[in-house]
Amino acid sequence: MTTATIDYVTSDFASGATVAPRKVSQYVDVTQRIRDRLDQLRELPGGWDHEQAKPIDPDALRLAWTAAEQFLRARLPEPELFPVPDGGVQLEWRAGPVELELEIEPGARAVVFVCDDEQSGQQIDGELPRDESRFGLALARLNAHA
Amino acid sequence: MTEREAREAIADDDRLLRRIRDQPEKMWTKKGGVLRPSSAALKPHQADGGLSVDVRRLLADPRSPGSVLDDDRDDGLVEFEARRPRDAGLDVEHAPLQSRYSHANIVGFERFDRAGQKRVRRELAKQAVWVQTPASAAAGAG
Repeated sequence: MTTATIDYVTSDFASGATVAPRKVSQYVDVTQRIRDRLDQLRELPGGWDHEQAKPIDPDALRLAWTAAEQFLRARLPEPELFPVPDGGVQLEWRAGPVELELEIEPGARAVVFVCDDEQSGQQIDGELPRDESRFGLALARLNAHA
Repeated sequence: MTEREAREAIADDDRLLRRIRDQPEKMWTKKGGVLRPSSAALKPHQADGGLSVDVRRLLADPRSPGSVLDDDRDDGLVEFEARRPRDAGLDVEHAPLQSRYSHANIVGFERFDRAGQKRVRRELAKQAVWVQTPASAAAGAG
């Protein structure tokens, strides 16, 4: 089985007004909130959606943490984290008119993203690692408004 | 099969209801001041063969859609017309259960690749209208 990785953060994004944590204390607060949320997701039992939802997969949780931490270091906003009924984890960001969703499937076997730029009307969708350059474009759009 | 158990045709303007979990599973988000279900809440279960919904017209009392939430009235509830998933390339099929005659499935996600499936779910989430907001959202959280 192949396992997806996320390693697309570069340091040359445009800077600007941002809601990303700039100070060490803010960074610590945000990372703690993300850890707490991931712990919460880790505890979800099977059937958590009142249907047949699976417990959240440990590999998906690990990759979600890696992604969230990497993107925070790249000065992206704090993501929201959601459980996915198949055992995956979804991260969502919004900055200005740009929204990005990143879904990590159970076993971290696939990572899918969709991005909307409401200002330009552009949609940037794809799957990693196949669409790495498109994902970089989505991150740049998000970062430009962060 | 009795007449009551027969599958019914679902019209384009039939409204489909979907539960949105609240705490701690929190499947909703507030972006730009707008409360919206996460697209993660609209991912179908493989075992079901589709996304599980209820047809409002087929409820015992369509004026009380909150009845589909059973024992967890803190959850949220959204609805959208059947034409929405159909316009996106999906199908809507009545799939009555013994205890839930109004049950239906949105099927056909497999026609899309992974990114396409996610795009369809995101668009449905954006088009969904709240029938009942999750309790913690109504209380000002998020």
